[in-house]
Amino acid sequence: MNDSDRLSLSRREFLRSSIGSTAGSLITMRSYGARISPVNPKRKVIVVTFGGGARDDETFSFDGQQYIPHLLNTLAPQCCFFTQVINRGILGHYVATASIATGAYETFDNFVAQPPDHPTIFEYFRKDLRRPIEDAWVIAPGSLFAEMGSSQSRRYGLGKGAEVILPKRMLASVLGGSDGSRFDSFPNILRDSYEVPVTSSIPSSNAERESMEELLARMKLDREQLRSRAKTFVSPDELSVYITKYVMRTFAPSLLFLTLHDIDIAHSGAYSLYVEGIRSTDRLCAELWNEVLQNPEYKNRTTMLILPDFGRDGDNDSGGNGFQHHRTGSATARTTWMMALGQGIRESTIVHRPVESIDVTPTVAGLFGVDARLAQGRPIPELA
Amino acid sequence: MPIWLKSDDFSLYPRQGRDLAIAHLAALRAIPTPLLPVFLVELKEYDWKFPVEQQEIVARLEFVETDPNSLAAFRSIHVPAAWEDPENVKDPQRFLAGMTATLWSSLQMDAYRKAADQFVGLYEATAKPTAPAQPRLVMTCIGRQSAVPAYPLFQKLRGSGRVWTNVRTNGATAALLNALHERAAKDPTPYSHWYIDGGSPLPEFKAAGVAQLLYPDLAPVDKEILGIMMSCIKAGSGPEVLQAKLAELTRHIASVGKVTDDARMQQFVVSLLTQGSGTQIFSTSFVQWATREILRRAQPATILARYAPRQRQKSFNALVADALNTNDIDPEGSLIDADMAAYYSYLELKRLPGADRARFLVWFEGHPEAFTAGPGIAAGTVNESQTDMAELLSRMQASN
Repeated sequence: MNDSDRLSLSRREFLRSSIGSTAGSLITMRSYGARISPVNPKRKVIVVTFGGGARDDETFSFDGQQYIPHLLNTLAPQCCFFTQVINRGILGHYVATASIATGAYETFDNFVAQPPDHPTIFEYFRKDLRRPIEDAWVIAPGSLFAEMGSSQSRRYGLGKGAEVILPKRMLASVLGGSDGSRFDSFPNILRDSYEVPVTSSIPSSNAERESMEELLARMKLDREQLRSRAKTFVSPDELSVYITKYVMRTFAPSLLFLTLHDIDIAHSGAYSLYVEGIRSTDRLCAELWNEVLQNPEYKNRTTMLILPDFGRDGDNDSGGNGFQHHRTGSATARTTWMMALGQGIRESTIVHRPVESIDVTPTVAGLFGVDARLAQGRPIPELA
Repeated sequence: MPIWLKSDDFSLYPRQGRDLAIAHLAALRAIPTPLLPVFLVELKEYDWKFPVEQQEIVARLEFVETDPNSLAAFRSIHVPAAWEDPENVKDPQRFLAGMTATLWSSLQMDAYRKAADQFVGLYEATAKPTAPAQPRLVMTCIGRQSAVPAYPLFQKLRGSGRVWTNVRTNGATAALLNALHERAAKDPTPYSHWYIDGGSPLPEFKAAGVAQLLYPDLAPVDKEILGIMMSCIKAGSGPEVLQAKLAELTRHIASVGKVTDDARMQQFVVSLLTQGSGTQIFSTSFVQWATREILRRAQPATILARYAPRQRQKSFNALVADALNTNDIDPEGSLIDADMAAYYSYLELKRLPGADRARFLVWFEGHPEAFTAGPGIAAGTVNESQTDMAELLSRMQASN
């Protein structure tokens, strides 16, 4: 048994006791295949990355359960749980998230905002189904993710993917100014990355400002309302979920990709802030699922996938510094989990078989009946 | 392999490192290019390394000379020929950063990791690590200014030792300092005994024979680093620019807010504040990282590490801007941070030679809870009887 298997087994044993699953509910590809239903044209899919970088130790391990009460008590009993999701690519947040969205391990510089090389799920979805841009959205935490909606592919590419919202940048734009001095009332939510402290949220060029103004106009977002609501948020991810719910209520897109990032405060080395980020992310995932259940456009039509982009270094990994970073490439950093819930998902089941994070895009493509033809991952038979 | 390496390539290295590189040129030429920058970084910084580190660098070079096949697994890793350039030798830190990016982007990091594990395994099988004359002792004070926590302390540690619930607080800090001072007097080896404090030091602390890192005293260096970070934030510069500016700082250590006359310690301080993540803004992160680096690099006999409350979380820019001038502290969060950090210190201690004889103690400062681990201490036990710190330390040090 290798390290990934051991992590997976630990999650499975724990979940079995918490969601009442038995060995009999460990499903196989064959047994699940019969449940696949024809593609529903009104189907919605939401992908949430439980980011940035959460370890088993603080989520589904025995010690970690205290930090994820909503995932465990509310969502787990309704979900199909994958105990072994492996990311074999670069463990940087943007490049890993882009890899999930393209279904291929992207290899670009993680610290440079750029379109991925391979087509994204948004492009496959929109091109094959001839959907408008309002039907696919990305809500992402920072400037690096600005171009993850469309790839550099000649067959697909710019303008053929998803609309990308960077909520912090949007709020900064609404607040006005370029020196940050007006942001003092929003000390928590305009927090920038702790891994790349020099990335700024503030739209700096005229082109960026104009582009943001266009987006705000298209979204018909009430600036004053955003400003006043933002004062009640305690973290950037709360702002992201607020914007996500706004998009759901306004445009009801079929495909949504939300990247959460509060957890990445772990890079500061403060364990209390890291686990607080996990608690907050846990709560926000449940809040989003609750929106799905309340919103008639989404209720009974939505499949939601929740997965960390990757883990973090293990405590026993001598080359790292425990939870703080994700630099070693160890099994703890590469192996995570995934929850699938909602439309077409068999509840209270556990899949032990290893899958890869790049399998998400071919799987989502399968749910929509489109072909992720250039993806390297494979559809997950239990879902697609 | 860098068969192109020659003596002149090391002309910009400090004297001892340069002489060592030239003396072991044959070994360096046998090192596959993906691994080469790791050795070069150590050689360039050799003059400021702690004595134990210097011995290890020499031992590893000699091992490569004796058994070049120990590096065989690295030869299956392919990197662009552009890395075979003597110019890279001049700036090994940049070489290392670039090579790391290459390994990640070519999806060869797993192969590199496997090769490194194999090399380290072969080296350690032949190495003769030196255990300290007296068993190592690491003492950690956590939770200064914290109230009783809302969760049981020492959760990660308790399976490895004994939790004490009734330790008299009177005289506790004096007992810890006595242990440090007595051990320093008994064994005057340089850099063998350390006192680290995230805030103001204990009044009874005496520096004789003890290397010290007091976070507030490092403000001149921290100020310079924070200034660079702020200027990068304002300019919207990328991480590469920040990294280059911090690397530039390490090249001119003498001119960076001098905090000590000891060049080795000055370099160590700069490295803690430039290479440690969060060390510039959170005192808790600094004490954790400093303890870990002292254990890993200096392999000392004694450490007394004392955590202080860190500043409360704010926006990153505000944390950087206010790092040296804030009174807004978070004692409860700091206790959680330090509790986890103590566990990491324990793991690091257990990686060192003589780990089976090492002693480890954590005290929730100002409260009756403590934890001990070491020879003769039953793991996973709780002792509720009344005791005091001097007795605890005496028991720990007496057991075999």
